[in-house]
Amino acid sequence: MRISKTLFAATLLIISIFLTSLAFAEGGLNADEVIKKSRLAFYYAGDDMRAKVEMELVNKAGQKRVRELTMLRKDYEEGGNQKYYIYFHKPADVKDTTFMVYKYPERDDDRWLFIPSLDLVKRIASNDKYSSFVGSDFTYEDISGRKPEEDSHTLLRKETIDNRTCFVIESLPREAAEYTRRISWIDEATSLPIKEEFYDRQNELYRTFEALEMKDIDGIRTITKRVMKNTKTGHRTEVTFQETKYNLGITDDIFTERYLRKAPTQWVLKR
Amino acid sequence: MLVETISLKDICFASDLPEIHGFSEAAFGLKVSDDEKANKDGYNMLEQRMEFKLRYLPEMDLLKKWNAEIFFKTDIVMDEYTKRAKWWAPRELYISFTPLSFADFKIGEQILTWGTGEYIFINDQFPKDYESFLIGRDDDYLKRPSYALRGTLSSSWASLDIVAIPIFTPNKVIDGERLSFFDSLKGGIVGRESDRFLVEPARQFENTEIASRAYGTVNSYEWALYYFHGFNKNPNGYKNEALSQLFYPRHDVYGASLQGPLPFIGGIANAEIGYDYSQEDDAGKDRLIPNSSIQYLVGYKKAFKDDLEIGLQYFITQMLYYENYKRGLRAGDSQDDEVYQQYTFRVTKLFANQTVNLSLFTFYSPVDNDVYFRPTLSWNARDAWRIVVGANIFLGRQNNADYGQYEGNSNIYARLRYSF
Repeated sequence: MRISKTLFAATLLIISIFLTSLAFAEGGLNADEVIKKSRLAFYYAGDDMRAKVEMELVNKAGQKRVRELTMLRKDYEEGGNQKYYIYFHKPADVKDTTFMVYKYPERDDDRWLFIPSLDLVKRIASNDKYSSFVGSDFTYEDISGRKPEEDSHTLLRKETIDNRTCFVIESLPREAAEYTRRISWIDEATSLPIKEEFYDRQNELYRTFEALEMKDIDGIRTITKRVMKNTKTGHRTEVTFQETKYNLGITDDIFTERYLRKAPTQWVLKR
Repeated sequence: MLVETISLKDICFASDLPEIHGFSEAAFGLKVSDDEKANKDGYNMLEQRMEFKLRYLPEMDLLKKWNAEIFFKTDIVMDEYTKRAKWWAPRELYISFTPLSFADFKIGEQILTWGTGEYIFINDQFPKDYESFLIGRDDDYLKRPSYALRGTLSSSWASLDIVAIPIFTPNKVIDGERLSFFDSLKGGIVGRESDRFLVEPARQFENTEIASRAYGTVNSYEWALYYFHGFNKNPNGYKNEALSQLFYPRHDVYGASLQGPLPFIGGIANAEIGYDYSQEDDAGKDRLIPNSSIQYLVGYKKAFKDDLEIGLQYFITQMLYYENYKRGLRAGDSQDDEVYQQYTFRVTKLFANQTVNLSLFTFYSPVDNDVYFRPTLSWNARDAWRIVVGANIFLGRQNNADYGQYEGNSNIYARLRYSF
């Protein structure tokens, strides 16, 4: 009798462990799926896109700097390689400067900068993906995305923000990264990130991302306004996407030295 | 019919008025060494400058179809050093257009640059202004404009640039007016007493220079082949020693370069080579004209955490027919080495959301123990305002060395620029 009781308890224990691990596994799978879907919705919307992007860099004292650029993006594979073309309208000292990025999730980007006053195409060392994009609070990785496999993801809970049901997911980098922990609020309906928190080595919050405005563009839900705040320095960057358009049929040749040197007028209005 | 009917109204009023951009700048460069040979002892730059640039997109049917663009950029300079106001210092004035889907043209006064070196030019045989570089003007002014016709043919696997330069523009070299230098005719450091006479090639059709480049990108690696046919941009040939006449000998340069990411350790590596064929002294027997040479460059740059970047370069010039050269020398001639080596080292760090840029560029040549430091600190105080302070420090001891000759011209400078 005693033996069967022990056996029963042991069986229960085994079953419960099995069930728990199953539940965790399912949760884990879910979190991975959510992050994967979110990356595609946020960084790979449409097959290509064009937007006029305005960035406001505001320091603690409220002083503002403005970056205005036209961005073209073309995807070569969902979740895979991409090409970016950027033309700067503002500030005045970098006006007409162009910038091109070939993004490879598997290795370092290729980056080129064209400085018109010197007629100089400059290859940029791009091995630091955590460096700031044009002095903003966004890193290159924030702009172009991160491979889901680089973190392990756990679904913490579901939460409602602004009437949106969100998955709250914790991501821990598998190898040393800029952050040690990231919490993302991913909108269940659109898969877009509504909020993100980045924690540093001391496990202190140092950056927060927030989606401020969402619009339906060509049937694609798009975050048209976002902000990244550095909670340690008080510096923040607000980014507004204007005139966003998807699936324009931007051709391959746009992303070459030819158009780096002479901006394509069909996509970029120089004035 | 190719002839288009154009009315004046079409040209002048059909499009919106072009926007004007540019900057206003004040610059001051203080001489920190005791050289008293140039025109001014205390300083070597004091100027105010306005730059205007405007772009005009003609609305005329054909030009519009060709995506034509007229670009104009000029500086108005009040130069306190020379006490000359320069009301007309055009930097660029060109028309560019695309008459065929694969062909672009750019005709007029323009800046031309190619090659992989940083401040080291092998296949970039376009004119430079070394005086601006050494006294602390913006890097933009290292490049002088050329009067050129540039055609570019593009395809998905390779592209071809062909540039014809019918009017010769030499490098602006140090002439003793603003900076003192080693004058081989006088055998020492000279300033305003230099009486060199630089003889430019005649303006003839057969003196048209040709520069071309075939290039492409394969799997992140950029390759290029270069060809140049024209004149040395430095007056490094002696036309008549007694009359202190120097000239710009003809040469051809054949070259190649490769640039791309270094496997495993990341960063960008580059290699460039050029065979400089001295047309007027192929066998190196004429002591008055430089020999043919081969130039090699390898470089590497890498980014580190927190906006730190380093760049390294190693450059070699190997004189060909060195025995002939040595045999040709006369008593009193200074003898160059067969191999000239130079290292450069750059470290750049950005601070305060990339508004502050601290950089040190160093040239070092072990051959002459020659050193040139170029530290700069720039601060974008606002989007429109930039302050730059920097220095040009020459430490070489040897009077006839590349940088040692400028030892008396070391300077610190400051520039304040408002961009609009």
